[in-house]
Amino acid sequence: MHKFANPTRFMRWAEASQPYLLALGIVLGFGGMVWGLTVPPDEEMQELIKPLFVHVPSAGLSLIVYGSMSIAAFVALVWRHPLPEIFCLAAAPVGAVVTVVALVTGALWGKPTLNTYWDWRDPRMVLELLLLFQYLIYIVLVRVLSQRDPALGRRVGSIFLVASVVTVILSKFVTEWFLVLHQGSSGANVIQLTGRVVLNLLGQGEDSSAAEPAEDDGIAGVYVPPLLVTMLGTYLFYMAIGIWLMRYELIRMRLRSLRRKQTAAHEFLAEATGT
Amino acid sequence: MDDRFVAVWGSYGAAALAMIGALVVARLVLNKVRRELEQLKQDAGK
Repeated sequence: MHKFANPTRFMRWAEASQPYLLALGIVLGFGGMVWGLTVPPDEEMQELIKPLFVHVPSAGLSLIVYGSMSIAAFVALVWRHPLPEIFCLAAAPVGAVVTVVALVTGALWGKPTLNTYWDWRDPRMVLELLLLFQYLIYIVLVRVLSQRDPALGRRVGSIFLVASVVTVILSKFVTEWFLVLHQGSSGANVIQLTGRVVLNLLGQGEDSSAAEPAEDDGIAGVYVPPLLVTMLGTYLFYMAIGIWLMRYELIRMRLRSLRRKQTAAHEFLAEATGT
Repeated sequence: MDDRFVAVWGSYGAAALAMIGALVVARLVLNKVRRELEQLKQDAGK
């Protein structure tokens, strides 16, 4: 475990797996979307079930990314390790992008289903917007402070991430705690969906060809496989993008350090030669 | 335009565009810093 905490070793391993993650992400992500477009109409929502396959993965990922950034920030603050900080720097733009996708797809889906693009009284919607602002605040905070002192910028950013994780917790449980316009939890996480697919394969699950909603949660059996494939594809795709961005952050750190050394060497030479 | 049509195709379009955009931008910024690093190494070698 500890050997992967070395940034160089971790990046060697991550970059070796990156092309496979990217290829799998593209195939599963876009394949799942095409599958989602061809599903039979839902009993209640008819064709309007289709945005589910792009909205749920992006909304879920927006919370997962922020949650993992907060955990990484906590690790960085406690153990003073640079790798979690680099992860946070790379994950923030990815998280911001998927949050925008969740907001846009949610608004477009909300118009025909909830009769509105946006409702300020709905805590789930407002918390998702707040999450986007938190991603942007973190990015700006670290970039601005890093101009003076990169280590200070990353540290303040980590404190901000740990302190603001409450948004993710609230967003996850708000549909259970309050009466909201947004629908309740659909049980659409990768583990539960995989469980349902496995049970279906073993012949112990519900009727996988039925388009009516399941009793235990909101998603009918026929929609579970395409949703699972799209979620996995989206997660793997953005993980691959995150590895590229981690490499980008590492090279930027190296560039800063080399430039500092170069400037110091020039100053030393100028002083020594008296020019 | 019909709200249902916009909801389905707009959301798929937004998700696909975001994925393609993220891929292109991440690749471009990574290539840019890699070039800068190579340039700096060459300058240091002179």
